[in-house]
Amino acid sequence: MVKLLEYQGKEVLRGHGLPTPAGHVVRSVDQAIEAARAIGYPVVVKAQIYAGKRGKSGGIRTAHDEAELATVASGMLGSKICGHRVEVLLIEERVQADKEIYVGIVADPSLRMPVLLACEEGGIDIEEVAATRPEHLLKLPVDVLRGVYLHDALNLLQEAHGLSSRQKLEVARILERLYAAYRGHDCRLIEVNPLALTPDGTVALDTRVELDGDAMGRQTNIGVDRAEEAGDRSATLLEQIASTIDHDDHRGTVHFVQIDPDLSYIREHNLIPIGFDCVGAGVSLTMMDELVPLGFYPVNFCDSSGNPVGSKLYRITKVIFSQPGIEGYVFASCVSSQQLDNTARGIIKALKELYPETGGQPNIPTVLCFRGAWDEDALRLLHEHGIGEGRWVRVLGRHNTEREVALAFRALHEEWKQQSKEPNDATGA
Amino acid sequence: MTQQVLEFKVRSGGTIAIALERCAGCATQACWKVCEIQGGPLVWDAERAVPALRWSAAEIERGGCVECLGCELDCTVFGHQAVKIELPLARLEEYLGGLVEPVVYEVKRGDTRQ
Repeated sequence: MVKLLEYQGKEVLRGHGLPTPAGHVVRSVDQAIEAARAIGYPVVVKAQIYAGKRGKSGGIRTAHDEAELATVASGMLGSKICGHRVEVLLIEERVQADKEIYVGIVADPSLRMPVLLACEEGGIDIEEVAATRPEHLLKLPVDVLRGVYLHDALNLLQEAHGLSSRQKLEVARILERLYAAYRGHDCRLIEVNPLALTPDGTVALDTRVELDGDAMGRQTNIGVDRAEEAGDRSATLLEQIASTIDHDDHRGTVHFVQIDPDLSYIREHNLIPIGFDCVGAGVSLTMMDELVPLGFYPVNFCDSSGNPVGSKLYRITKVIFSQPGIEGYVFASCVSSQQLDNTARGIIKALKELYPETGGQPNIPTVLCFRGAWDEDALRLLHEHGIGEGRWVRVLGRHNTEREVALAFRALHEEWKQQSKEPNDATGA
Repeated sequence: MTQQVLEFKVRSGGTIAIALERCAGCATQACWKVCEIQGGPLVWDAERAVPALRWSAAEIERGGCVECLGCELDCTVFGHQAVKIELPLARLEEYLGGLVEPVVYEVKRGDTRQ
């Protein structure tokens, strides 16, 4: 799934003829003031973050003049709202609405169909309406082979008794266009909340758009940075870099996601950050189950499987080691069928480049566990290149469990920490 | 004129370059031997006593080279350090340049620990 920021979602809407307020994307107070001069006061200042309920959290404010705008914009930029750092603002004209409603289209997995949604209450939490007042949420499943016609949308709005006939017709037209946007951009969700009904027509005041991640290969003009699924935040630059490894090369995969990009969770809970890579998502989970209770917290998830070529392991190892603050690195394979000698070659080449002075021996505790096809070759290669003999390296094989990997790492980390307290220790690995 | 460097592109983006003048007297011929095991493009040109390619550059770039990295690694240990594989990672330098804290491999041993 790929989430769009509000301003990106509004570009999608405008591309399908849905009206949106005049607005500008800005990244500084000066740009905000310049944008407001072009729009005219009052303006709405909106933090561009991947989070709902921005209004209640101070992420949407109105500014009536330049001084107020400067105060609001400088307060928002760089701040954290709902746990998200604000780096981009949308400065928009303020639209006066006679009435605000909700319209949307969501892919319903249980029906395996998209569903048109409409609600006369706009600007509200639609999940709450569905849970507490389901009769207020109008729904219409859509046969994708048939599509949506104007009369379908009008039928959906029959029960919207608070809307005039003219308003129903306007909203029905919006739903038609919204469906075209939904299909045209391979969406899983597209909603306008609220849709303002004004004397001059309808205006999409806010929007939420989520695309099907598997369709991003053909959504090349959408202008978002592609990366693995990162949850309720934008992809980090390192995640974007990692995503390029699989972009044009389908020989195996290296799925990489930063779990705690700014280490805030780790510091708050007094955990030890480590870099992490496993062959197979299953062994990643069992490895985490063993490491986390011991106080170690992988700052990233990485699944390098599907028999990736050695060059992929080389690149992803450099990515993993490029996360600041890590106090160790754990690699473990499941009992895999992939060619682990090539996996080892990728890791070896990366370590030799990252640590040229020590011939590839890292300066942080490193446990490498190879289990599966060509595992003995992998171990031989590590020793041939002198990495297996590294002061802070332990190499394990097919007879070792995840538990043993975690315990070996803890023992090595304790030794490493202990030695750091001793004087005259600046000798390298 | 004798070719001095055997260079070809690989599927993932990057190049493999073999400095052929270094291959003189190489007893192990490690590069093409590991490549042959992987089903890769390197063969031995017995006449010139240097590695050579058995497919076209286009065929290799299309995926003929499986990018096992064995030629470079084995040449480093058993050969004459003639093979260099460059595998760029787009925007990594930009990322590293924007970091506030240093990455662990740029920190002197001992400095990484409190």
